[in-house]
Amino acid sequence: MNSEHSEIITLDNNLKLQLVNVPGGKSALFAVAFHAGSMYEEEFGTGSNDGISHFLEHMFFKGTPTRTSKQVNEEFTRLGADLNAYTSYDHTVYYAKVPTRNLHKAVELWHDLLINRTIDPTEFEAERQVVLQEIQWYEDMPETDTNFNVRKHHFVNTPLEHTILGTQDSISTISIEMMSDYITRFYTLDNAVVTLTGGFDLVLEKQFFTSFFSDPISQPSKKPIYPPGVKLDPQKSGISYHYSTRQKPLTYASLCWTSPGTSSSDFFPLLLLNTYIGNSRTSLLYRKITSKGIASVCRYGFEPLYDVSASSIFFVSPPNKTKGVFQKIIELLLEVKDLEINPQIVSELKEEVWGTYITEIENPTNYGVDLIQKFIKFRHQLLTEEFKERIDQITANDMQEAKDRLLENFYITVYATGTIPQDWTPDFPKNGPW
Amino acid sequence: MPKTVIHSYPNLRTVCLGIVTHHGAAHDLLAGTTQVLLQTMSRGTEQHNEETINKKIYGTGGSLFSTTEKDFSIIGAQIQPKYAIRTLELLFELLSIPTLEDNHFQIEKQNLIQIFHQVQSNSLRRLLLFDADKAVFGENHPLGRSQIGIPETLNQITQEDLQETHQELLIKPWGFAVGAISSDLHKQLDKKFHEFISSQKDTVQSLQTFPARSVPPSHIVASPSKEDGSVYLCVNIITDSSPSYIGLARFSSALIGESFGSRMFTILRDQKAFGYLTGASIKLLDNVMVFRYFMETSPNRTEEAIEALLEVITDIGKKEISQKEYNTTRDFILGQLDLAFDDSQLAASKIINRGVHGLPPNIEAGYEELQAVTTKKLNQWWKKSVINPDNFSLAITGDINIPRVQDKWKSLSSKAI
Repeated sequence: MNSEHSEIITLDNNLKLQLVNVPGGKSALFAVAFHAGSMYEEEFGTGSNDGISHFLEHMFFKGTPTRTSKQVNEEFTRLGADLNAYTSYDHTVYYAKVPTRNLHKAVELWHDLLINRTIDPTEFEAERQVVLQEIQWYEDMPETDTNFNVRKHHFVNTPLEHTILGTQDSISTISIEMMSDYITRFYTLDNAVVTLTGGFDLVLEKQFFTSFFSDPISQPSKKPIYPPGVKLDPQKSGISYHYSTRQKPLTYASLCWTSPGTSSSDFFPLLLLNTYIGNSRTSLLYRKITSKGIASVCRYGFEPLYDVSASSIFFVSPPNKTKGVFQKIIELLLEVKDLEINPQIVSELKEEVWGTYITEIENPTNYGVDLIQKFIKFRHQLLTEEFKERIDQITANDMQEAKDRLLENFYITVYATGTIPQDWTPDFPKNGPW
Repeated sequence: MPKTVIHSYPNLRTVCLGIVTHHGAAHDLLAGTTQVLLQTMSRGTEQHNEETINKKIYGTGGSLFSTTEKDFSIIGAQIQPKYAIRTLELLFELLSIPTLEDNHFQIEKQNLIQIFHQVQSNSLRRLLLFDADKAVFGENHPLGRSQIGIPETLNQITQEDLQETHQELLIKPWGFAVGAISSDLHKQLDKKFHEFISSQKDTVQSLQTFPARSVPPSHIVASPSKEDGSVYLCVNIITDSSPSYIGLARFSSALIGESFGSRMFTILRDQKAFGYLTGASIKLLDNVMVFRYFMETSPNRTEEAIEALLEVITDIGKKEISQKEYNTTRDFILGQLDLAFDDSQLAASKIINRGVHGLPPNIEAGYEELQAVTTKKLNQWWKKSVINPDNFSLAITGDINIPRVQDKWKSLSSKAI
């Protein structure tokens, strides 16, 4: 594997610059992340700014005093850029992959957007319609609807209760003033991380970037601003059920539980457990469910955050088989509970985790976004080599203890939509960890 | 037709490799047979059971993929270079001596039936997987059917059909490997591919051609889905394919809908705010190519959206493309070509798609094709060969009133085209 050369710099204005060179690459990824996302949204319950982080993500490319929205789009197009953005619970990321020869032009454009972007009222209203339509689009897809809702119910009364997109009601009432206020609070250089990965000269780019992003800010603060903590009731256990009926021929269901966040020493050992449970063709999910034809789609999901992580198993089944799939998943969780972790299992899982990781990050977009996500989620830089070291250090005992702790207070939320059969709720045996 | 294509990109970490065959879903007598076959093939060989294969590939972080397109199929893997040779040997085994056990076959068949129902519940995917090709070719045309089949055909497939399709699968096979390939690995891969391909009896002398399509001008396939809160539409244009058109086709698709600076994004999303999704793609099929322009809107703006989309598509040929827009589109395509070199799977998919359809199987050829594009040539080609009611069709789904949409499409398309 090509070795990385990296630099992490904190400028006087507190902006974090993370530069990672991949020798020989023809492209470069520029990504900027703000500590801002749905967990930061306030006044939840009144619906007043729910979804503002995602709405703002849509407004980011809408122009500056010297560039209209159309010009911004044209310039990125001319640079051959793969441009995208997403909003998460704890961060919002904007990124563009460009041929290395266009990197400086792209950076100049990013800089203008970061420092000078404007909100034009006409653009704001047009984009509100686009966001409302996007909410509708996601609601039309039972899979995303299921995944949003299972977490919403699981993390009720915590900052993770917010759905990232907001609601039709909340988006309809967000004003330019509310968005400007949100920008002032969160979209500042000292609350951002910039990552550059790809084939470039590290020394030259370091000079270029440092001089380009050294804009003074009026009052450097103690930022970054971290999201409010997620405090769950440690005594909570058992299972809760939620559903909504939709006119779809199949049942879409998900089971969600909480696992330790990136701040926990159990995080890395449990990464191995995630691989053991799903999603590859060596996993329990494949061996026990998908390969047997019990459900054609059965996926493991994992959303790591600093305090907690959300794990889930999603499946699709004909209504008359739904209960049977639930029962198989319960059997699978019981198997995990009784699993004796030995060095052989750990060694195989390490190889798979590492191999999967380097395969995934071959795509420069995945790599750059992964680096910036790790920076946000771990609250410090975590390069590929350190990631490997952390995986290599895990022992069978670490994994066994982390697994046992995970199952000590195991609380499961179940959500289903589509056709909901009668008597659909599974029978969780009393000897389980729930 | 290439025998083996090996491209080395030393900046990459993995290798994407496999075999391409000119047998696709359109060759199926019962729709979905090839897809079921490929899925069943991955379940084990006479020499290695499924668990061992999965450990050797997935257990090292790699992955297997089998793709059934309308006119070709791929069975391949993405893997770390150190496992490339043994993975290739496993792929050859999967192709040559799969066990095709009946219980696996039945499971994969049922899985596909369930996936069919799942795709049907998801309007945009349904539109693109089922309805768009039906609109272009007609429901019963081999190229108009879905590659995963429908429950009726899937249920009819027998173990004999599977065995028969397996015997016919390797039509004019060729090998590909793209990525972190040292010169030593290059030699080994070349030798392995050569041995395997030479050992195959090429029983099919010429590739099968498909019957002419027979759909009325401005054909429409409309499927209501009242549960959805959006309307999804896809305007398709079919036209003759020829290597000399590729540059023009690629250019027009990028100009109309592939980027944030494209006309669809600028007009339909940014200015008119119809909805979140807009996009364009080209599909090469047999001796034709199909352009797809898809978008989403709210039910109360359906007719307005059809009109606006048609206007964007048919505007080429009516007005001169400005030098600025020409340059922007050209630079976008050049940049996108560059980006393909940094991703072995992306590079492989581009190379395969080119190789299968008679184009030079390398990304670099795209630069030359682009150089030959001028606005004059584009306008002429678009006006003469593309803009014709016979070539246009619409697929639409969501909360729609079918008779109203049909009437509107007929009158709008006859006016616009």
